[in-house]
Amino acid sequence: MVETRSTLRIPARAAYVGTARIFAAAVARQSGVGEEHVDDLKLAISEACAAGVREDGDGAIVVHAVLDGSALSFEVSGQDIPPPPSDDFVSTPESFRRSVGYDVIRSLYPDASFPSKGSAAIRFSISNAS
Amino acid sequence: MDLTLEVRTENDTPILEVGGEVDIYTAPKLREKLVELIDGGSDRIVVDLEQVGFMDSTGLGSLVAGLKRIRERDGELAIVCTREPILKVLAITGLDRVFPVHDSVGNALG
Repeated sequence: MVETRSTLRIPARAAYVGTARIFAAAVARQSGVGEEHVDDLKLAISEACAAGVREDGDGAIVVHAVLDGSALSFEVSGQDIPPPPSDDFVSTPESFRRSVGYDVIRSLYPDASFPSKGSAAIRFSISNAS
Repeated sequence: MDLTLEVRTENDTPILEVGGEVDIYTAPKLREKLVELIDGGSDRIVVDLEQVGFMDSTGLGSLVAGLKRIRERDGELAIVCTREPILKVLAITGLDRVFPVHDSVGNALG
């Protein structure tokens, strides 16, 4: 089975998050993901990219999509995507917003993984691509 | 798709019609419009999301900010929405239990 990779690199600015949604939806449709799953994917990508947006707009957010057999995986990485805040450390509106965003991704894709030591990426996969 | 915000009045209640996409880029505009309406004296607002094609948690954050502000005046903010993707994100975040969600403006004004 041939592995297919697609990559989008956008500035870490809020105005570009919509571009990432369009990219992810296009990759999913091309990979045979059912239309009923595309809205969930756009939501997860939007939440992940929002976590990588920087106030100063410096840096980039990179969205990797890998189709391997029937599994379509996404990885969103960026310079400043932080780990999920711990429950007792949701101290600012920004960390609260990010916490809700991560919860949304986790709810949509229970296999999602989030930045931790040694990794600055959010990853999740869809298993029903044809 | 850009965000569109239009206000009309029905039964003396402002109806904020939201269209397009509400995300980290456009959500501040929604928040500003809600603040403008509330600070302008509205104590009851209906937010019509029927023309919204996409909304993520940052968009919901703007609605929550509006709800908090209007409740400080003992006011209320109701949502009109029948679009499944948006109802889903409301349910995921538990906000479907916080906002009154109606299937039509008429029912929201009920």
